Amino acid sequence: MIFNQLLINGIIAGSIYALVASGFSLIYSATRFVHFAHGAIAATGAYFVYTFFSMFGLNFYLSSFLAIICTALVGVFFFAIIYRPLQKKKSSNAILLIAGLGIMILVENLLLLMYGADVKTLNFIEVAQGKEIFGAIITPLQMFIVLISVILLVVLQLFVKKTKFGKKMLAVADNPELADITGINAKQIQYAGFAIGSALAGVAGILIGLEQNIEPVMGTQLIVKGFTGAVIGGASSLPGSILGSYLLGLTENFGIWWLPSGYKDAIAFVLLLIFLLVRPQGILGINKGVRQ
Amino acid sequence: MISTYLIHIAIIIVIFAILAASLNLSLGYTGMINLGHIAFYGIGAYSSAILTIRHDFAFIPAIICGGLIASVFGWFLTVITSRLKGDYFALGTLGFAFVAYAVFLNWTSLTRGPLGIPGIPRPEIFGYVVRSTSDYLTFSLIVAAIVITFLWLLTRSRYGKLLEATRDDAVGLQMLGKNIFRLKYQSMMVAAFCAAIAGSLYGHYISFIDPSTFYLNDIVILLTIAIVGGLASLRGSIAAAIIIILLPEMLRFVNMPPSMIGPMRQILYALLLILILMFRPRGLFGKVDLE
Amino acid sequence: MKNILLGFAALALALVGAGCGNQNKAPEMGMDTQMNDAPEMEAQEMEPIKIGFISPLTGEAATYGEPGKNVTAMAVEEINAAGGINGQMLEVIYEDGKCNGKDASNAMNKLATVDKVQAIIGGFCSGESLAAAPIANDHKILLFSPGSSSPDLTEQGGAFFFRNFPSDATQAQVLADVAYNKKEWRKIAIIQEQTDYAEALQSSFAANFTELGGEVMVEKFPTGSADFRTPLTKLKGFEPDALFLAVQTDKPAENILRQASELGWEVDLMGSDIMSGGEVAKSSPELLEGMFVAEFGVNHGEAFDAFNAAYKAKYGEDVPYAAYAQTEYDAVYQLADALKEVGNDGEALRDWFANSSGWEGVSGAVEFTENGDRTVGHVPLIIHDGAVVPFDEMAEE
Repeated sequence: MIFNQLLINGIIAGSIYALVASGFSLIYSATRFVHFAHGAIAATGAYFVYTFFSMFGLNFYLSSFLAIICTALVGVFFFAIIYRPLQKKKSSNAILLIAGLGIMILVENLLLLMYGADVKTLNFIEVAQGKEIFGAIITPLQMFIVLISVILLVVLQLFVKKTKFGKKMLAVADNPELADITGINAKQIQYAGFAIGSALAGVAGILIGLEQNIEPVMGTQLIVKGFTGAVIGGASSLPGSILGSYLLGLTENFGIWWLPSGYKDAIAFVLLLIFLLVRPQGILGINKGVRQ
Repeated sequence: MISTYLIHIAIIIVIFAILAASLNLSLGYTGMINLGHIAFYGIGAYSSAILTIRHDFAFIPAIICGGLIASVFGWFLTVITSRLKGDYFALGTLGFAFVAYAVFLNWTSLTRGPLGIPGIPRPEIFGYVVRSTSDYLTFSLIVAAIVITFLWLLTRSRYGKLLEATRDDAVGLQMLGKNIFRLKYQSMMVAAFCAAIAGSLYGHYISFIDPSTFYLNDIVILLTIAIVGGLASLRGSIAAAIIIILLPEMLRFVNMPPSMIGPMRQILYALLLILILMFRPRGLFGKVDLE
Repeated sequence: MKNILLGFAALALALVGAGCGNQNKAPEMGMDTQMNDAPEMEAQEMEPIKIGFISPLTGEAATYGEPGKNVTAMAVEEINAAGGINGQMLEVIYEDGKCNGKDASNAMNKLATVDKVQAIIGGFCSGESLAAAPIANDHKILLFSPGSSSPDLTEQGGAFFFRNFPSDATQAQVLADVAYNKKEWRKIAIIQEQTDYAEALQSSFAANFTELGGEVMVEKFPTGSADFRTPLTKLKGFEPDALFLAVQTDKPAENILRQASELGWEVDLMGSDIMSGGEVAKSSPELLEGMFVAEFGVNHGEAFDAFNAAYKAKYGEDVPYAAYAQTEYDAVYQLADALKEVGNDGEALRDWFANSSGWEGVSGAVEFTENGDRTVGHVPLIIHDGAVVPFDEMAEE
């Protein structure tokens, strides 16, 4: 009973992390650098849907559609004006990571200036009593979130393995130099990766906004858990990052059953450090560029 | 007359100069992209606060113990991240900073958690209490001079060249039979020791510390200072500490609703960091690129 | 290039130096927000009296700082319209303490030495006051907090620190006493945000409640958390009589209560004294229905109603966080009275406050202990339809 509830809690949390981690990982695959501002981009997605739906009064589904488009554009925008020039200068991955940290702080504070510090609620779904499944309780929205992340797992897997574009991306992720020699247009792959990855961030932002409300600092929380999930799973493997997110969600929720709840974030990072120590390539990741 | 406000800002600058210079030892000279340096700063601040308040340590032994404790963690961090490089190393160290923050917040019997530790005494050295703000500035300048001179001599020495070789040509160094790992953890331990001294200086100055001082915002400020100043340049770190701490203080004198100043300050830091990475990645005085 | 950047550093230093060195400049800069609101006065040729203000104007806790600033601005405007301090206008220099020690001490130092104020209203957060108080004592500046409730301040505040907001020690006492003796609860689950205020409240409550013979279980979460399912699952397993939300702001409260209800957990609620004045009470009052709180009682009466009406006329809504607003409003008036009697001098003001007795304000009679704490404490209340009603009234229904 308790076990089942913890399992469900872990799966819900894992699904939320997976929403962020999948986009993060897609971008990592296409570009080979850590886009630390990905969580902040997801937060803009949440604010876009808030703007269209709650402020302009548009239909929710239309608002969501517009928000996803806008979020993708924001992601591509930052790639084009910051990351891409840095890459052209042959900046190292660490520089791109630090630049991402800068973008994250920038976006968060812009949101703070524009929307204020208070929590925004979408109020699209009524508060519902959860449904009981095997003695554990889950709401319809949470089931939907879990469903979406499972669908993402399957679709992204098919996308990478079956489509021409996905294969190209995999080739870039696997060996950027070789891919370049064989004439794959890395620039195109990177732009597309950013567009799709940021659109996924938009989806994440909307669903998380519905589930947990919206505030400017949410991006930090999201990326911190998202990248942990992705790195645990193997940042360059899409299914891996989703599995890693579930592992993270479950470890956290079972962990704080034994430890005080305040250690939840610490559990996540200790798990990250353990993985970095014993299996830095992650559960399903490839080994290149990670170890010395 | 120089106002106390300026002296106060100067003290904060001196503390950040020590912190940035020590980060530069591991980040710039040894080439380890350490994003967790703020944790050593926190460990130093907490250690010396707890030792002086609860265990009646005198100031000097407390600050040294704080430094030693931080060095042990510096060694530990190097060990657990030893197999990582590049952005993965950076992520690992960032994770370390987050764990340290969670421990400050949760180990309430030791750190009082979010309540923070109030009433940290001003340093007493051989019976003389560094009371006034201007005395504290003199005192911090002396400490900074000692720490930074030490770092300067270290980087100028043969040993310093070995550290730089670790950054530039690890393979070559290994072929010469040098223990790269040992050089790395030694450099990290020295950096941690110095950061802890900066932390103690901060705690005994403000007289109150809580976990929020040792989190993401200050990581960004610290990184901005180190990168704007330039890698492997101590004078760069000092110059950048002055600029980066003063810049947002000037916002206080601009006509702007106070509720905008906080976000504007962060935006300023973020833009500065991004722009310097894009247009002058070596910072003011940097000798090498960040890798 | 290097020279240019060095020159820039020198320029930056010079600019701040100029801002500090030239004392005549500072008031003009700080005055702007003030003078826009202030009515035209004939006494303009007299130098205004400047006082400082430290409160979180940005960040999570700006939820309190912003209304606090509005209340302060309103009180100052009223005082100035009525002739100011013996003809001198009162002027406030607002500084952002960001609810943390470093920024509060930056702000405190600036107020003390650039603006050279003799009295400051603030800090609001206990972390701000704890860091600012030693500096205030060094400079012999009166620091008068309308919101810091940390029990640590009783000792750490020093001679120049006063507060017209009572210590949380009394809030915790009242909560524990009523929960145990009147509600007859024996087991209480506490979900606590990891901030100074909530931590002090929780630990003080737990000590009081277990002393009476009750049992508590505590789960903590860092500020910014949004997923409380597992802590709630754990607390639910404890089978408590009530769930106590020891939170710093009501931001996490909505998620906590919604997730508790999703988990099918129906339990009596108690909360910290910020619950009734926040957004959740307005947007989803049903979540808070029946919650037991101990607020430093809003002193409902003519004086408060008049204050609230004035606030509503000016800002278009009922005054948020009324328990804090009344003390913030009183702080300005009490300080103004002190300034009228003894002039703008930190030590004289300290003596005036130390000897004051029977001062009446919107929040009732203000009396201080020898440590500068306000004597009267919190009263038990129940949240009903998003507003508080007296505890006994609800109990009788």
